[in-house]
Amino acid sequence: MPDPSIEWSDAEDGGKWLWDNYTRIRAVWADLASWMRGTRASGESEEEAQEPGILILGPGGVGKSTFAKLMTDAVHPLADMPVQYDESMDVESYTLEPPGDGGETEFVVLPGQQHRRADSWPELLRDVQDGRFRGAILFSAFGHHALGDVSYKDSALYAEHGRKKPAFLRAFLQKCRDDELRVLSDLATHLKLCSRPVWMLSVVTKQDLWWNVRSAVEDHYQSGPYSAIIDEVRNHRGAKSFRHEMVFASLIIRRLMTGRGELLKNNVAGYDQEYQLRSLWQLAVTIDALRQWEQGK
Amino acid sequence: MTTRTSTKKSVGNGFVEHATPLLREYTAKLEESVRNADELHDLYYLAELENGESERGSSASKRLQDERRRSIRERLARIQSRVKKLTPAINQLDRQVSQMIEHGELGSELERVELKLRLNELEDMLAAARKIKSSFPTAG
Ligand SMILES: Nc1nc2c(ncn2[C@@H]2O[C@H](COP(=O)(O)OP(=O)(O)O)[C@@H](O)[C@H]2O)c(=O)[nH]1
Repeated sequence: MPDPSIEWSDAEDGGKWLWDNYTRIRAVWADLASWMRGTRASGESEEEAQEPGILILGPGGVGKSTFAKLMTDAVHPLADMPVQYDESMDVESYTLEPPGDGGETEFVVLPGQQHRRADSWPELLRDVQDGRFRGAILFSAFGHHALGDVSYKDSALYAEHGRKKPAFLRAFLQKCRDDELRVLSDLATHLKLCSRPVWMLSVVTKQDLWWNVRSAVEDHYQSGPYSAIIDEVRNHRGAKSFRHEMVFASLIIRRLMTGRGELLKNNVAGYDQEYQLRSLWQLAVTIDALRQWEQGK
Repeated sequence: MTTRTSTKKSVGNGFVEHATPLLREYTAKLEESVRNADELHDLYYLAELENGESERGSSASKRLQDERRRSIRERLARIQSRVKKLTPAINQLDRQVSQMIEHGELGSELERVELKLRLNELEDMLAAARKIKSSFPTAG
């Protein structure tokens, strides 16, 4: 793996700086992607080594598919990002590079809408328990979940909050944060019972939308109920068989809009692609730390 | 259409009243496509069997068999193209309904459940329609 302690060059041309550094991040990600496809730990049979994959979960509209596409090079964060949020209807799988060796992908992204969870989650969460996954990546966004093809004015929360947009937005963000905790709690139950050493990565996305209140966000995840649940899992399993990391990132920079084109929140002024790229780098470094843990380093 | 909701004040801009017949209609259309495709597969298989039996028959009957199979293939291609054309709009309907189930202001929780059940039916049929095979089994 290329050295993750990146030296950020001070190129005069900002565009070149971004491009050069993103190219370096890609090299690291390509390497991490091949690790994610499955490395064989000592003592494991070939069959076991092929099987365990990585589970990606989180509520709907927090960046799971975007992350999977970044990792598989299907999109470039600085160039071609999808504008429209297309809700995932079913479990999605992505093929990780390198291509050509014919291996089955084990990069499984679960649909996040609450009403879809009953269809696909119980089985895959049981798989977590049965050791089918080496790691789980849980996405959250400090409540900034994408609303799909629906107007906020048609939502139950809007009606419940006097049909006022600011009150709706406050309630929506809170409700989504509560849901993030519910998902963590579901996952934690199964991680506690998992039959193999397992790591978990919490990715808090959409940094570009909450950068102005970042210390509140960091507190929310690092000293509130979120971290209490993580501590429970750690205490239950012990540090040798459970490792957790957390990273705050912006997978892309864009305003929070509904699928009907209504603006809910602007991205924070001053949060630019340099911050974004640093966060993506941090993400890569964090994944590398999990790899090292998995490989017993 | 149900009359159940027509007497009370419409909530969510009458979403359920609009969405329910659409969900039913497109589930039925997909179901019909899947059924027709299954029948065509059976017919083709029979034609193959008959073809085997008439191997030593007249060239006229062989031509007839060829013609039958060509016609079956064409009908199947039409079904597939119909499903292909319907799919983008059905996906859009699916996502709208899904978001209303997730977030929408609906008349009651029962309406939410009703939408969810109908959406499941649509998605099951869409998955089946996507699996319609273009190749046919051959006898023997
Ligand atoms: N502002 C912002 N938008 C993001 C970020 N990550 C994803 N999105 C957008 O959020 C929406 C939902 O992302 P998606 O990956 O489809 O969510 P999923 O349902 O969790 O798979 C899409 O419109 C993305 O472009 C981010 O870090 N910042």
